[in-house]
Amino acid sequence: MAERRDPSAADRAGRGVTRSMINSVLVLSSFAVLFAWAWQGVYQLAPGESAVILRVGAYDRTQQIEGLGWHLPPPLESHVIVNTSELRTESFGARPTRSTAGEPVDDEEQEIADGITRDAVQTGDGNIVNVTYEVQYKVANAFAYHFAMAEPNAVLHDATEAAMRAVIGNRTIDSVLSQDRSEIEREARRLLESMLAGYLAAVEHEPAFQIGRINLEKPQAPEAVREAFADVVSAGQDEKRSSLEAAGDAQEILEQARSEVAEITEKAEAFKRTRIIEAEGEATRFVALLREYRRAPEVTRRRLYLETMEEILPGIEKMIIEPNTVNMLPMLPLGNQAPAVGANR
Amino acid sequence: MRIIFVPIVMVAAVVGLLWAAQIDRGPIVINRADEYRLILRFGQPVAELTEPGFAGWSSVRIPFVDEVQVFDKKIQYLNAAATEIEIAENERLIIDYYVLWQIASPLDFRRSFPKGASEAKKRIQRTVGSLVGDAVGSLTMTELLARAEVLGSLGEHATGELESEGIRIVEVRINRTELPLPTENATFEQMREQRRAISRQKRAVGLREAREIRAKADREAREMVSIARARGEVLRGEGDAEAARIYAEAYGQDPEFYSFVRSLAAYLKTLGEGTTIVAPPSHEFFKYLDPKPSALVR
Repeated sequence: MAERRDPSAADRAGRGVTRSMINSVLVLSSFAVLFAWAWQGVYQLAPGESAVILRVGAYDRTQQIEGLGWHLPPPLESHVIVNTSELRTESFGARPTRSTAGEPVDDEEQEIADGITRDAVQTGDGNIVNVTYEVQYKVANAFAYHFAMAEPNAVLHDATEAAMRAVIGNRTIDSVLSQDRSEIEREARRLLESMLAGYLAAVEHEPAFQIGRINLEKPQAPEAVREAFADVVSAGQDEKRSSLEAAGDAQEILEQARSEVAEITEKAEAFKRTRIIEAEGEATRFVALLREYRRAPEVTRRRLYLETMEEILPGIEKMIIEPNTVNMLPMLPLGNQAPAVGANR
Repeated sequence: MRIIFVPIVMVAAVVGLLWAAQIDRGPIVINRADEYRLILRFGQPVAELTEPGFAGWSSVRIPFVDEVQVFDKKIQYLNAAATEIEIAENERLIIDYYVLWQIASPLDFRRSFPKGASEAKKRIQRTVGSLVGDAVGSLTMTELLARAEVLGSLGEHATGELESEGIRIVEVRINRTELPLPTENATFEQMREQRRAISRQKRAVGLREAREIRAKADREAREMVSIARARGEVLRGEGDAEAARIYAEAYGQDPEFYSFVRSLAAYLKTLGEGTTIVAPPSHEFFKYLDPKPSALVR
C-alpha cells in the first residue's frame, strides 16, 4: 500500500525502519495483550478448595488439584473457588461462651427481655423443652452450592432448625428427655437431607451439602419447671428406696421366721427322741426286772413292795386304827396340821 | 508482515468481542448458568435466554440498540418476620417461616415487577403470609406441632397464585414456633402440675410396693412357722407312738407284774409330805409289827 507511492530512497529506507519498528512494537504489544488476557485464566487453589469452571456460561468441570491452575481466559471460561473439604458447623440454641475467661455468659436476662428463649422447642404434647444442637456439614457439590441458591448457608440454617423442631414436635416431652438422643439426631438428619435435596432437585441440581451429623446435647426441661422435673427424679429414687427398705424388712421377717421354724423343729425332734429313748430305757429296765422277777416271783414282789413302802412311809402321816373304832374318825385332824396322834419317824 | 498482523488483529477482535459479551455490551449475549437474560429492543423483548451458554441467533444483539437485562435464576431465600397468629381454639402462636422461591419466567417477572426483585419480595411475602395465616389458623396446636407436612401443599398453592407473575415457590416451611409469653407461663404451670402428678404417683407406687413386699414376707413367715408347728406335732406324735409301742412290747410280757411295779412307782411319786394314811393294824404291812394289833391303838 505505502510502497506503491514514490518517495525518495532515503525516505523509503527511513520509513521502512520506522514501519518495521512500529510493526514490531505492535506485534509485541499484541502479544503482551494476549498474554495479559491469557493470564486471566490462571487461578490458585489452596488445600481443600475446588474450582468450578464454567465454559461460555455453562458448567464444564470442577478442579480439585491444589496449587496453580489455568483455564481458558474469560469470557470463554471462568471460575469460582469454593472450599469443599472444610467441615463446617452451625450451632443452634447454644449460649455464647466467653472465650477469654471461659465462663459461660448468663444471657438469661437478655432472653427474658427478648421474650424468646432461644433454645426453647415445643414438643408434640404442647410442652417446652430446651435443646442445644449443631449440624456439621461439608460442601459436597461446589457448583450447586454456588450456582443453585442465593443464600445456601441461611437456607441450611433454617432447614436444620425446621427439621430438628419437626422431629421434636412429633414426640412427647418424656420421650425427648429420656429417649436415646441418637434416634432424634438420625431422624432430623434424614429429614434435613431430604429437604435440602428436594430444594435442589426442584431446580435440577445435585445436593449441595453433605450433612455429616447432627449433634444434639442432652435436652433439658426449661429453667422455670426444672425443680418439678428434679422432684420427679427424686420421687423415682424414693420409690426405689421404699421398695428396698421393704425388701430389707422382708428379709428380716423371713429370717426371724426361719429361726423360729428351726427352733420348733428342733424342739419337736428333741421331744420325739427323748420320748423314745426314755421309753426304751424304761422298757429295758422293766424287762430286766421282769427277768429277775420270773426267777423268784414271790420274794421279788415282796421286796419291791417293802422297799417302796420304806421310801414312802417316812414322809407321810400314818394312822393305824382298828376298823371297828369308827367313832374316832370325825376328830381326826386332816390336812396340814401338826400330827396329833402317833409318832412318826 | 500481514501474515502475523492479520491473525493478531483478528484474535484481538474476537477477544474484544467476547470481553464485550461478558459485560453484555457486545453483539452476542452469553448467558450464565445461574442467570436469565432478556434482550429488549426498544422495550420489546426479542429473546429470552434461560439456558446457559450461547443460544444461536437468539443470542445475537444489535449493539447500542438492544438492551440486555439479567435476572437471577438461583433459589432465593426469604425469611418472613416472626408473626403472632391466632390458631384454632383461640390459642396464639408466634410463627417463623421461610420461603424459597425462584424466577420461573424472566419475561413474566419483568412485566409484573418492572422495579425489580424487592417489589417481588413484598408481593411474595403478602401472598404467602396470607396463605400461611389461612392454613395455620384452622389447625390446633398439636396438629401444628406435629407439622406433618402441614405446609406441604402451601408451596404449590402459592405457586398457583404467583405463576402468572413469573414466580415459582419452591418451599414454604415453618422453622420456629414460639408461644407468646403469657401462654408460655401457662404452659410452664401445666408442665409443673403434670410433673407433680407423676412424682406423687411414683411415691405412692413405692409405698404400695413396700407394703406388698412386707405383707408377702409376713404371710410367708406365718406359713413357714405354722408348717413347722404342724411338722413338730407330727414328730411328737411319732415319738409318742414309738414310745407306746416300746412300752407295750415290754410291759405286754407280763401285764400283771407291770401293773404291780407301776403302782408302786405311782405310790412313790404321789404319796409324800401332807399325805395321811389311815390303815388298820391288820394291814399286811404291819403284819409283823404286833401279833395283836388292836392293843397298840387302844
